[in-house]
Amino acid sequence: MIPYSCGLGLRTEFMHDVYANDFKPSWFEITPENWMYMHAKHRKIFERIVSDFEIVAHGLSLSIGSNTPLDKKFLTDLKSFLDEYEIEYYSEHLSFCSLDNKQMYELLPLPMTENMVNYICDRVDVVQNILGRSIALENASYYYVPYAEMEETDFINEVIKRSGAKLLLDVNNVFVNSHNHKFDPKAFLDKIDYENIAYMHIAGHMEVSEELFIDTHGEKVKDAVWDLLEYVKEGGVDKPLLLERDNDVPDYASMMQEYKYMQKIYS
Amino acid sequence: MKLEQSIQKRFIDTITKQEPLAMPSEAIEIYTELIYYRFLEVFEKAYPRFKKMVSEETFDKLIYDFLKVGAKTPILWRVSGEFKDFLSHNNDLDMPFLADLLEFEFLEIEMFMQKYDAHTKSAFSLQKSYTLSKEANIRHFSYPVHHPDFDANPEAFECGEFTVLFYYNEKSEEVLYEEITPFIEEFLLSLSPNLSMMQSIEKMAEVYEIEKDELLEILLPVLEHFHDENILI
Repeated sequence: MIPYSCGLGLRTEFMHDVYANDFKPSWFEITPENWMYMHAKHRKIFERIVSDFEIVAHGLSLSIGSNTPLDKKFLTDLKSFLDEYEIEYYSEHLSFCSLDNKQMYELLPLPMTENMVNYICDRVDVVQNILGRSIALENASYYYVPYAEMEETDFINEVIKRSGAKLLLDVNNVFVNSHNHKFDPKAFLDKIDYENIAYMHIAGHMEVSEELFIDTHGEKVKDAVWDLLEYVKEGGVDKPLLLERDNDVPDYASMMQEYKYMQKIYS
Repeated sequence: MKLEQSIQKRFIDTITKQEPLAMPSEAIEIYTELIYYRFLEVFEKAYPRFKKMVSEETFDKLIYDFLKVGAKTPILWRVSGEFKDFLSHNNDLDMPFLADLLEFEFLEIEMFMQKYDAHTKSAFSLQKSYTLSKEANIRHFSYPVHHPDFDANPEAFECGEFTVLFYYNEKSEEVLYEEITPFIEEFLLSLSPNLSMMQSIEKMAEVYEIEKDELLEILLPVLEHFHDENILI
């Protein structure tokens, strides 16, 4: 089980300062694609952190909704990496990032249809069998809906219920999507099956204009997103929570300040 | 899934500018920009020297041209290698040294991403056998892209044959390189675990009809340096 506490996304920008600080997060999340082949400068500190902390791997390249057959070589390498570092937990995104063998390295929105639900369930099964682990899928942020025959909440719930994967609930994604696509985030959350949540994400976003927010993970978490997290907690969700920061990553001390704030809200 | 996949294909073709806009433009532009900046970030870190030699417009165009061809690897840092191969076939840039320069820049990344074995150091001895470390790399270039003044005026450098030895220095955590002669390259590649260093020197002296002591005098400081840098193990 992921510790029922707060975690932090591990980033190269501050990972060398982790041991210089008395205060440390309960667990870290890493992006396996960045560490399956790691930069020589970071190997020692990465291996120390991975041996000292509980780790969750949060992938980017699986492309669960792609038409391209699952990359068995990638999955086998991923399994070796997870096994080598004894990482039990692996999560990914309910999206696609490649098509016809072309990689975009960006999380793209899926057509929300019954066929897609079935297709993803089949692929989750293959992934879980190869990795020898159950996985969690994150509700993605999106700026465009390519096609939808069903509500997003139904799409998420169906995939999670039928695939056997757990849900990684990204509260910031719900907030950003609700703003950009003009729906009520609380009503959205009310329809999500909370019982299948493995853990949650929280992050900052950029308010580009009154009409558009972008899920940049490049700023502090906004108050409105903390409020939405409170709402989730009031709904009875008591799951591990992770703070993400991917752009304009501040120093470790600043990250810890935000982490402590998250901890206060979490408890 | 035909419907879904045709929708996904059209979406990707549109955001990579292969198909004219037939969707709400702002949403599409966001994705186009997100993808473009992802590639830009990776490529400008991988090829800082090449990027300085071309205009921003050219660099942007090359990224969009590459997007149309498409990246294959799921591992992001490796996409720089695919970009290198793509650019090496580009004849519009009028940079005869381009393939060499990109090879030089990408090799540094590849070497940083390599796993290095821990080495236990003992004093260099001519009685021991050594081989060229698999962690060291030898490359042949037609242009001296390793020369410190090359970037300032590449046209001033003539085409030729240049052999460069690359290695990772654990202390400085840097990929270092130095030009070596074809003779040194041949000697390094001739090393065998079945021969002591002295035997290898004797063999080379015989092949080139040089006095063994004369050759030893020339090679010794070079070999000691290579041993210090874990180029010889």
